[in-house]
Amino acid sequence: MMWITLFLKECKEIGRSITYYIFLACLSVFFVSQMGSVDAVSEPLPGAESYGWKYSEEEDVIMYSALDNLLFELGRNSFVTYPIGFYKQVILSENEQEEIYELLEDVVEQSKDDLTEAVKKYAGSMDHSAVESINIRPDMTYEEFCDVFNRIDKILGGGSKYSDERIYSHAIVSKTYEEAMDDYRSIIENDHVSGAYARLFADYMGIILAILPVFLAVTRVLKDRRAKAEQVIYSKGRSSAVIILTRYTAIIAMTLLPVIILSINPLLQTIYVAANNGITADYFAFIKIIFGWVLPTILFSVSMGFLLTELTNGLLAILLQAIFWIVSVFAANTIIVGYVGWNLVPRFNTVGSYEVFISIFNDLVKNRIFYTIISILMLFGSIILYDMKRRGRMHLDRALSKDIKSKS
Amino acid sequence: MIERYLRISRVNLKHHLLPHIIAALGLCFLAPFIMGVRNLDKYNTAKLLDVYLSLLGIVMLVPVFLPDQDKDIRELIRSKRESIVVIHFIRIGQALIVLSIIVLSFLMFLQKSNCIFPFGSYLYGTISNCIFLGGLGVFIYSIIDNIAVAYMVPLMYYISCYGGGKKYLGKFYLFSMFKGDIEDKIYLLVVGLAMLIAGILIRKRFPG
Repeated sequence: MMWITLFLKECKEIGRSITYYIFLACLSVFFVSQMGSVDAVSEPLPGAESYGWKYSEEEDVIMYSALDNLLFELGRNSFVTYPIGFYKQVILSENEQEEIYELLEDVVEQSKDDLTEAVKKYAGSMDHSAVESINIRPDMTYEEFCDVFNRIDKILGGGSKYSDERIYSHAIVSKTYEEAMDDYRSIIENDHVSGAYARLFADYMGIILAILPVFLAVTRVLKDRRAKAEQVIYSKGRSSAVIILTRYTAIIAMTLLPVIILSINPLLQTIYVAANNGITADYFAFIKIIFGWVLPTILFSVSMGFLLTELTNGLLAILLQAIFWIVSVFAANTIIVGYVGWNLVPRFNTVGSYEVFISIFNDLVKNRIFYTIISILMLFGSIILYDMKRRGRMHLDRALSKDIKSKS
Repeated sequence: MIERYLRISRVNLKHHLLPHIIAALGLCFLAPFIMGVRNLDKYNTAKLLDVYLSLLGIVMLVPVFLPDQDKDIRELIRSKRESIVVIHFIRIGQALIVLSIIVLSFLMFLQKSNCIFPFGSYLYGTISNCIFLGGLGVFIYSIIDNIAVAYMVPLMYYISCYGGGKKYLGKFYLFSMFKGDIEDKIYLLVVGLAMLIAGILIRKRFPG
C-alpha cells in the first residue's frame, strides 16, 4: 500500500538524520542517569531501624504539623509557595500578617498576643518548645481547620502547602514494620513488581519526552523549506493529509521505538525480581504504560512542533514548548508522586504506592485523553495550514518570520 | 567603512534580531509569574539568575546564522564586499550588547523589588552563563547546520546540570552562583567566547 511505502521512507529518512542521533543520545543519557537499576524488592525484616517515611492520614497529626510549619514561616515572615512553577518566596505585609493571626485566633486556644510572642520566639531561636504549648481548640473539626487554612493559602497567593490539596504533605511520619510489609505485599500482589517500576519509568520518560520530540518535528517541517522541495511536493498528487500524517506517524514511531527498547532492561530486571519473590511479573506493564501514559506527551510535543513551525519558522515552536515544559515539570515540585491535574507531565516518582495510583487513575485517564485530543486538533490545524499554503492561499511564513522588504 | 557596518547593524537589528529580542523580553516578563522575584536574598536571587535567566543566552545568541541558512542567501552574501565573518561578528556583537542590556535591566528590576545581592558579581555571573550556553549553541550550529540541534544541545546541557550535574561538569556547572561560588564563572565565560568565535570562523568555511 502506498501509505506504508511513504511511512517507511519517512522512517528511513529520520533514521538517517543527525538530529535523530542526538535525540537518541540525549534520551539514553537522561534515562540511564536517572532511572538507575531496579532495586531488589525484598520482604522487610522486623526490628529494622527505619522503614522509610510516609504521609500520615491521621487528622490530628496533619493539623498539628501544618500548624507547626505555618507558625515557623509566620515567625520569619517568609512563606514557600509554588503557584504554578518554581519555588516562590512570599513575604507578607503587616496587614496580611495581621489577617493570618486573626484567622489563627479561631483555631488555637491561646490569645493573639500569646500566639504572636510564641511565634517570634520559635522563629528566632528555632526552639520548638516555644510553640509546644500552642493547642488547637478541642472543638475544632478537621473540615473547619482546612477551611481556615485554605483562606490562609489565599492570603499567600495560592500554591502553598496549606491548601486543601497539599495540607497532608506536612504530616511526615516513619513507617512501621506493618506498613512496610503492606507496601511490599502491594508491590508483589497488585503491581507484580513490573507495574511499580513501569510507573517510575513513565515518570522519567515523561519529563524528557515533553521537550525532545519537538526538535524532531521542527527539523522535519523545516527540511522541506531548506531543500526548496515544497514546490515539488506541492505539485504531486498526494493529499496534504496523507503527506502530513505519514510524517507525523513516522516521527511518533521513531520516538516510541527507542523508548520501548529502553524499557526492555528494567522489564527483564523486574521479571527476575518477581520470580525471586515467587510470582510472575506483568510482562505488558511497560508497554501499557508507554502507550497509555507516555504516548500522549509525545503526541503533544510533536503536534506543537508541526503546527507552530508550519505557522512560523520553528523557533516559536521550540520556545513555546520549552516554556510549557519548564512550567509543567517544575510545577509539581514537592508533590512528585501522583501529581496529575492538567499537567502535561503527570508525576509518579516512586516505586509502588499502588493506592496513590488507584486514587489518581481517573484523573490520569482524563488528563491523557485531553492531551491526545488537543494533539489531534493541532495536527489537523497543521494539515489545514499546509494545504492552504499549497493552494497558494497563504504566505504566512513570509509575514511572520522574515521581513522581506523590496528595498534593501 | 564604519558607516557600512552601522548600516548592517541597523538592518540586522530590524529584520533579524527583533523577534529574538521579543522572545527574550517575553521570558523576562514571564518570570514574576513562575518564580518569586520580590524580597529575595542573595541565594535565591542567584538561583533565579542561574536557573532561569541563563536561558536568555540560548534565545539571543544561537540564531546568529539563521538569516543565511538559505544556501542562495549565503552565496549572495559571499559576493558582497564584506566578508561573511565580519557580518557574523557584527550580528553576534549586537546580540551580546542587547543581551547585556536585558540582563542589566532585569537585575535593576530585581533590586527595585527589594532583592539583596552583589550587583556586579551577579551581572558578570549571569552573562557568563548566557555566553556559555549561547556559545555552545553557535558552535554546534556551525558544525551541524541545523537550528533545531543548535537549540537542543545547550538545552540538554542545561538539563544535565540538574540532578547530579556538579559531579560530571565540574567547573562548567551552570548553577554555581546559587551554591555561593563565583570563581568558576570565568571558565564558562572564556570557553563560551571561544566557542562563539570558533563557531563564526568554522561557519566561514561552510559549503555554499
